[in-house]
Amino acid sequence: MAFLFFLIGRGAFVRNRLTTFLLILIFSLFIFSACNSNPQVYTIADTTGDWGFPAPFTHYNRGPGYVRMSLIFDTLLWKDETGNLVGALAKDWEYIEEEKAFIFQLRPGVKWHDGEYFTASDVVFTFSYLKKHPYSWVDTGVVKEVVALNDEEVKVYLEKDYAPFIVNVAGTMPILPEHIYQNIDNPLEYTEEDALIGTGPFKLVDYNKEQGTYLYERNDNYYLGQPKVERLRFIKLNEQMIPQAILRGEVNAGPVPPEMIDTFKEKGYTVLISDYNWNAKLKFNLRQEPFSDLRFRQAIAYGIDREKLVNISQRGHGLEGNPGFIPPDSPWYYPEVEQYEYNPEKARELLKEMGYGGETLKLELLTSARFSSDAELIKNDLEKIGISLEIRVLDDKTVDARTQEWAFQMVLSGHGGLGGDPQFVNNMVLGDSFHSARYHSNQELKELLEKQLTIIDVSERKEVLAQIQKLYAEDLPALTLYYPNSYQVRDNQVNLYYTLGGLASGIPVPLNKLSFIE
Amino acid sequence: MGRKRIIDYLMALVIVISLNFFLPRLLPGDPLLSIYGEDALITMTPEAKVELTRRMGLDKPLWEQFFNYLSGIVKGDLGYSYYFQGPVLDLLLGALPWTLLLTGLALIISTLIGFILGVESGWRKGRLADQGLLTGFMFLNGFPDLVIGLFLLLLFGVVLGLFPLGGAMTPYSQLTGVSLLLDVLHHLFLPLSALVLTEIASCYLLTRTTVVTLLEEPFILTARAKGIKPKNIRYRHVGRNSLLPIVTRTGVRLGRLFTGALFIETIFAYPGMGLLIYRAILGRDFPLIQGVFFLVAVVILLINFFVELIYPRIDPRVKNNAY
Amino acid sequence: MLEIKDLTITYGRNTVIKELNLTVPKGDVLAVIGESGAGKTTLALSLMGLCPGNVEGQIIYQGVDFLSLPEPQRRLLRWNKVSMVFQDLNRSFNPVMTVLEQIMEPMLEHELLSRKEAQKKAYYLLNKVGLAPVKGQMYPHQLSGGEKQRALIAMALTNDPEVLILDEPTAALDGLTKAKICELLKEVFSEKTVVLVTHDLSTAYQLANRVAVLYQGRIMELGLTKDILKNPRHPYTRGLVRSFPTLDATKDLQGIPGFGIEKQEGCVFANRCTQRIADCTKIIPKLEKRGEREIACLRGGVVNLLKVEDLTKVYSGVTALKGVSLDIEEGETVAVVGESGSGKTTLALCLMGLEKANQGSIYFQGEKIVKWNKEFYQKVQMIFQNPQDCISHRLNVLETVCEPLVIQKLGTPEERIHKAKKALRDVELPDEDEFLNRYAHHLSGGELQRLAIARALVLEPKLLIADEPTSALDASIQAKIMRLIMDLQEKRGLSILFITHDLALARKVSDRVFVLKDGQVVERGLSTQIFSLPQHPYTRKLLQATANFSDF
Repeated sequence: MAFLFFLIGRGAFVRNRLTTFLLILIFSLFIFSACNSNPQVYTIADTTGDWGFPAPFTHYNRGPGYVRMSLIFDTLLWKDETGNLVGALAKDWEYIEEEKAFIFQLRPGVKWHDGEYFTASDVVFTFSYLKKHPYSWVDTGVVKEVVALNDEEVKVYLEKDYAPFIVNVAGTMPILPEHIYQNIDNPLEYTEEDALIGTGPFKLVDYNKEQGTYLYERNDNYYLGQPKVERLRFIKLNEQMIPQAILRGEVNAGPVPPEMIDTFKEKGYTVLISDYNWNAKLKFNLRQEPFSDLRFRQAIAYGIDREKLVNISQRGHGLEGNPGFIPPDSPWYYPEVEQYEYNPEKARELLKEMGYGGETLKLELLTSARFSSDAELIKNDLEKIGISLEIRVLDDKTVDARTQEWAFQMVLSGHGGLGGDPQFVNNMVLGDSFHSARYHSNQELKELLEKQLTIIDVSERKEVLAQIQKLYAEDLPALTLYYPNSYQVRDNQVNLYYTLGGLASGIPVPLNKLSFIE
Repeated sequence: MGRKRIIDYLMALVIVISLNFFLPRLLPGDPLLSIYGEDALITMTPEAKVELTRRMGLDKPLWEQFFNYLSGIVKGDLGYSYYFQGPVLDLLLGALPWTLLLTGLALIISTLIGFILGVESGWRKGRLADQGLLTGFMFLNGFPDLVIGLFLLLLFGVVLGLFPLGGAMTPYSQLTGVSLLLDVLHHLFLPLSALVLTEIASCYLLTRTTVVTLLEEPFILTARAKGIKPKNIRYRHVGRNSLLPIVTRTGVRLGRLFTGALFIETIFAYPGMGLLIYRAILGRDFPLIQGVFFLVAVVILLINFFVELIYPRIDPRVKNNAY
Repeated sequence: MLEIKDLTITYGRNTVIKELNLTVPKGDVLAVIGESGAGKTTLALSLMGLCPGNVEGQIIYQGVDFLSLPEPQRRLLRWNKVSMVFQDLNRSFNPVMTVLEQIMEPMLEHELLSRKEAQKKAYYLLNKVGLAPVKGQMYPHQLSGGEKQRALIAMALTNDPEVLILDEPTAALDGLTKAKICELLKEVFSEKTVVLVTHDLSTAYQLANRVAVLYQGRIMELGLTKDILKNPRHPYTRGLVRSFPTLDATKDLQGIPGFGIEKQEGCVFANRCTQRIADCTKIIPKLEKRGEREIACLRGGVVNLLKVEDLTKVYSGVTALKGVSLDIEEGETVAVVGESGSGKTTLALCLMGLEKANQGSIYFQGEKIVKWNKEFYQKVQMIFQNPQDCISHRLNVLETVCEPLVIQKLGTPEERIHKAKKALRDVELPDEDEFLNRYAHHLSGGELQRLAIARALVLEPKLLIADEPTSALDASIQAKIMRLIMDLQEKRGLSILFITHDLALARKVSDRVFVLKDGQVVERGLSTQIFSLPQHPYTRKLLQATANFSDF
């Protein structure tokens, strides 16, 4: 303030000089408008920016964090664009049913970023390290024993037949360099440079937590081939600014709002449409009347116009929910289930059958702000079948907490993970997280679900899953309302794509490291 | 500044620290759920859950958590962020410089400009320039910082392309020295302008009102009779006196600027406390929430303390009877 | 030298200063006095060119018309040629600057001295006004009222201006401080041309050699301070002086009836003036020279009502009056005192035409009275020592009061009743029918005297001759009756010839006194003088015999 006084008190002389200085400063800023689009750098924009230090134990527990790590660390297996598992560090694998064991043939001659050779003992080490230091993306609980048969073969014995292993463990678990991690006791807090030594196509050059930026350079010796871009950069931008930055060429790829996709298509950009990995779901408190009655849940399913929800609340950018839960673009999808086409007449009949004929039924729907337009539409629909909904909007975390505690009647919320191994169906029916319906009353469904995890053979498993979906659609432990689309736009420099079924265990991020490889 | 006053400040700090601990815990929602339950892909074995609960210190009774929190503060340890998986202090120290750069400069610039415009406008009360400014700022005052920020960004960033669309510096531009400074300023310009524009109005209006009142004071007449140049009357006599309410309100204004900065930081993808607070609340990241609010409270208390310390220098009337 | 020519200042529709002309010669100290709202402060501010209103006319300092200059040039004259001591001493300093800074400011601002020299001079001035150097380093709020006043004076002197303007320099101060400040100002005023604006007549009396009396933006009277304040000749000035409490005044405080009206034609004082004539509300009086002073009054100031020259009355060889001369002015109380048999009552009877003087002449409103007709009695009324002597016991109260109107054949019966009731109310008697129907012998002494006064006043006379009106009453009733008469004087401008032997009473009610002994006036003069410094031995003897509670 004393400084301020000085400026004010001393009159014109000083103030004029100050003004001049400010003017010069402003002008120089204008002239200095940055224009440094280095063709060697591939830039991806992101609205959050910071996803944590991209080592396996320090990236944040969200998909984009895993993806940033996956550029540096490889898994045994990895998915290609269509979701097929291809070899990564393992070039081949087989299941020996009698022994309940997988044998992985490792790729020879692979080197860590620091020049050390990758061997089978690194794989064995990784399994044992994860037993000690749980990694929240991979549950290795089913693994009984891991043995290195030789430098290039690893045998993994399972406790039981466990189908999800191949994607959720072999296709997700980053292999750690034994010579580094054996010395790291607290990987959750370890952010030294050597924590980032992997075998992947990229090496980290810089990570800036505050700015939310990452800079990678390619690993010239990558065993699948040299990456197409020298440097890969992630920057943080506000949602509304990303389209503009892409048009200006400052950014090569990034998420855009649905309204903009036509513009980008016209200009020759590629619009990437996500698969149906996420769903909005209506959940019931199955411990309460009338929700515990199957007919009631069916009545609700008939009474809600799901197509209208997609068209109005999602403005057409999405797909009507499948009562069988698994999204239609999944290889596990079975279409022949009850579809509950919008039919208020039928809904009323079902309710009448239950004895709710005369007076209107008053129920509460709990939801958070982002679903409020859905909630309004549902309220309108249900009014027509004699159910009066009271909508309570609370914040996400509170909704989740109440759901967990069964302190609700109906709740409208959503979750992802529908792209990965169909184990998610088990999690969402039998699991005890608040996302799950926690539905245990159908013994047949329960048995089928447990069974599907043990079937390694894909076509056999599909049959079981078809039955599961049929039962699910009949019982409706929860009602999937719609699967929304999200969009990313990229220029045509690198062929980024959404991996069908999501990356690794099902992460819906269009940044498969394989797209950088010829 | 008497000892009693310092004790007052310490009391305030203790109250802030305690509220800081208990208020976030009143929020419905479980940190464990928020962090690991949201992403359906995350697998949580029961053992991992127990381990996490232990690491977060959530297995201990509340009073013990509170005690640990207090002893941590005394030792300069603000805890460990669940979400960001790092010490809270490091997170804060990483974010604070940017927020301080933004809010501090905004405070200084908005005070300077708002003050000068307020004085000039109040001096010309009722004339066209005054009416114009007054209407303009009233209009501006009605807009939330969010709108002003977006407008600036769209006009100067998108349409005119004069300024970058976000961030605090060009990422990986390998600039150094003066060109790095200019790059930082270049990025700073729009968010700073947005913050300044929202804050300037209140400073301007406050100054103007004070000036208009002060102009009725007899000592202004004395100054005019003494043949003092109008400019010196405006600044030496009116200005110095009308600075008093502005100085007093510095703490409040800084608090408001912090709040404003949260939105501005989001719009301009500017690094700083904004994202931290957002994430912390979203994830029920208690240590981080505590840390952020502790820091903000300490900064504002410090500013107030400082203002009280220097206030008698600006207004001699309070010297005798203050403490 | 300061000249003000045709100065007119208006705020919107209000004209605050009206065609004002004033000349203050070099070295002169002129006090501008008047009630609040007279335009004093406006005038003072306009002299600095700081009046916010619309200012027309000229203010000339040494031949330069200040008002015609553009503002930047006026700024250069301020404080250099003319400086000011402001009225509100608590708020006239900037609260956040030290006193010294503020005293130095004009010297630095006008670039007269270097910082160091300015500081030296500021300390010199502080010393001159009697403030210790340490006071300079203080902030205004740390100084007492008197110290602030001194600092303001020091500040006014920094640039050695020729003209000094002071707006109520003593208003906010207690008596002792006021006296000290006045001493200081007397010193400061040497060789300065000073305009001192004040409502405090004693300050004006002590400091100014000339006084201008301002009323409603016009000067009413202008002249030497002593003349004006001791012997005001304008009815307004007289009112102002009468209402100002001083130690040497003997007569009770009296105000000026009514309130100033912003807009009126003719004389601005006309609506409150008791001696106004029809022209007063039509013609604006000019400030004209009357002897040593200037007066703005169509009637030339306070007029003479009654003049008696060389009156002699002989009753069968006994000389009751011997060459008595006296005069009474409009709105004035003249006491005629003397022991019984000194000829007081004879004088009254002669004036009323009840006795014929042997010699001498009587003038009323400038005309010699030859015949005491109805017209005379309409303007001159008398009340007597014993009211029952003049009130017929055959008439009731209403008839008694109406009687003079009937005799004068004035008005319709209704109007007479109306006037009678008003007269009764004026003397604080009831005007209900019950009372109106009473007869004189049913009334108490006090009531009866009030009735007599009401009867005398019903004709709205200009002069009331009161011959021992209260001597038959006890003291508390006497006090009420006298209070009543004085109020009527204030309200109506009634002139009173008060005949009494009671000097103590005369002292409290009269402006002037005539002392009568053996039919001769032995001493005459202002009450303030006669009662404090009696010259004639007879007067002294009378005074010694007067009622008092003193032990010596």
